[in-house]
Amino acid sequence: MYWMMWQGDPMINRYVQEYVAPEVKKRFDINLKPVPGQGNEVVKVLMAEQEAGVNHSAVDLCWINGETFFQLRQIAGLYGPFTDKLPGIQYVDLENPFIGTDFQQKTDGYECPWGNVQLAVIYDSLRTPAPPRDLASLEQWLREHPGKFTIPYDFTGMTLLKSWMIAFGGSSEILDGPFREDLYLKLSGELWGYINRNKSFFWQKGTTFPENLAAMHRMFANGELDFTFSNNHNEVDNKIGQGVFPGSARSYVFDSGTIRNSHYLGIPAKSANKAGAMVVADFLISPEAQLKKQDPGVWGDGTVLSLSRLPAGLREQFTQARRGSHAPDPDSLMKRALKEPAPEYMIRLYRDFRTFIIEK
Amino acid sequence: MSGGYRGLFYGISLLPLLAGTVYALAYSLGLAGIGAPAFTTGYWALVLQSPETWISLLLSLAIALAVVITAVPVALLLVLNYSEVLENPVIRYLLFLPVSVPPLIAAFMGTEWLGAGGMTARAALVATGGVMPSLINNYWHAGIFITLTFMSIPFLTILLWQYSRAEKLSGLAELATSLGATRRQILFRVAIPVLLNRALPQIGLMFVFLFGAYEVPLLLGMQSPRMISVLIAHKFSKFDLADIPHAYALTVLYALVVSIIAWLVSRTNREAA
Repeated sequence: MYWMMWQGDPMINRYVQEYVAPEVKKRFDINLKPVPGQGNEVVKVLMAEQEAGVNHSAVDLCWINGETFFQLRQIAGLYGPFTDKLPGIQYVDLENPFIGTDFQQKTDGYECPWGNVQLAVIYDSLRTPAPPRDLASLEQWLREHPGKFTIPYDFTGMTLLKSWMIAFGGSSEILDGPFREDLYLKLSGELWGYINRNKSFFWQKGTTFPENLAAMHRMFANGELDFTFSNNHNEVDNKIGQGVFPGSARSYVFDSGTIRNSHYLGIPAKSANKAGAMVVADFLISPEAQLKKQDPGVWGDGTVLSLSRLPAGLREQFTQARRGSHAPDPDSLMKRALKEPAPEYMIRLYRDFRTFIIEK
Repeated sequence: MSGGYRGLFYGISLLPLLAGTVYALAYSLGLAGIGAPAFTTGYWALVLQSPETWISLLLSLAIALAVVITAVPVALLLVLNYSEVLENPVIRYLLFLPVSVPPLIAAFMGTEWLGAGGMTARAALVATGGVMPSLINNYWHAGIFITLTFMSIPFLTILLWQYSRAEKLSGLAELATSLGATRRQILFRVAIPVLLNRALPQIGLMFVFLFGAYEVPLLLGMQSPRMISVLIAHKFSKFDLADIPHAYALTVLYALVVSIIAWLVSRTNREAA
């Protein structure tokens, strides 16, 4: 069984190769082979297979996010609905808008929630004892610390921009529902105005932006930048654990909130091992596998399980697992959680960031 | 080469390339791909009308040219002045090391050396107390140029040194000296023309390789302008499926430019021969 997944983090790779694969082999005699590929790569592989008219996909399970789900649904690349066949789905709160809805799209059983995280800002509490908590104070901070802040031109950067766009809109629900051109133009106009007004105080005077988070993390670690970001609020813990970030690193979210979303497991429509893929997906959402994944020493990925649905003993274990974290507590995070807007916002932001910021 | 072997050679080397280009052309004209809208020249019109396409192509050509113009004289200088040193197998082994470094690793090394928090900046800080600007992701594409030049010099040095031996350059120099040639004449009328004439196809191929470099400009370049390879990869890999036909049109354009360069190199080579 081939599982196409992002393999850019050694801790995640270890979780899959040293825990998940041996466990599914031992319990179900499934030979699970992780293969590299994420986002658009998954779409490209499945599109190429459809165009070539192959009967059996080379991929049986894939790790996907909202924008990939949107693209795969456009090309009818996913098998489903299947989540109602998973026994473990009983512990997953599909009514939770951060889990059962993906980029404003109902998942409709075509993808299984696997992890739930929130965009966080990471800073060094020794270097920056009082980080800016909203866009106004960030503007002030940028003027006092030129060159020490930037935005990655990637998925995480665009997620941050969506959070800021919602902040300009003044309501956490302003971007709920289908894409609206008029709203996008209004809010993105304010966003581009804000960035252009301040970008001369950005890293490299805002003439260029890091291509990915790895570059941001590296520059944060060597002191070139005072902030980096993560789509996983707990990543600060595992990066401290790896010795990449100093022990004084912390994560937080802006007062106006940040996007919270889930990542999912999808089964390609042409997978020859759909039953096996469902067995693996069910194992991955089991309390045991989710608890292990939540441990910052393993990965630090947020769970999709509803703790209230779990037996008391298991619930306590999930609560205990968060002790000693350098990330904000779950309640304060949830208070500042924003829903993912429709995928078209991401597509437009990505294109317009180039037009109105990079090339301006 | 017999007809059978020639057919096999073309089958292995040219057929996949040709098939890929035809598929890319079909995709860019709306004749292939999921949801293809039937024949359209709209994607091509957008690509050809976009200033970014031409800026990226020119930038790639300019960087490749700048690297070749810098690396070739340095390699010639090393081969012609330090040929005895290059006879030492340890020195040659040390030159082979950078040649074997994959471009991605070279790009990371470029980051570590040339970034604002890198070794060069730190050394400048210690030596002068002043902050040195980052040489990567900057307007002049200095990081790309420096890294690609450092990758090219060892390759060219080894190549030219081997040609200097194959062409028995020292014998030719002795002969020219016995005929009364000055050192300058030997250098500019014998050694450099012989070596460049022999290495021209490889230098041309290196130019094509530099023109299509991906990892180094991706990590060390700016988002705008960006080299053609990075532009194509971004069109393929970002979030908008509607960009894919544009990416294929750019791929065909790129293949066309590379073919023209290859044709020019082979023509120049035939004329030189």
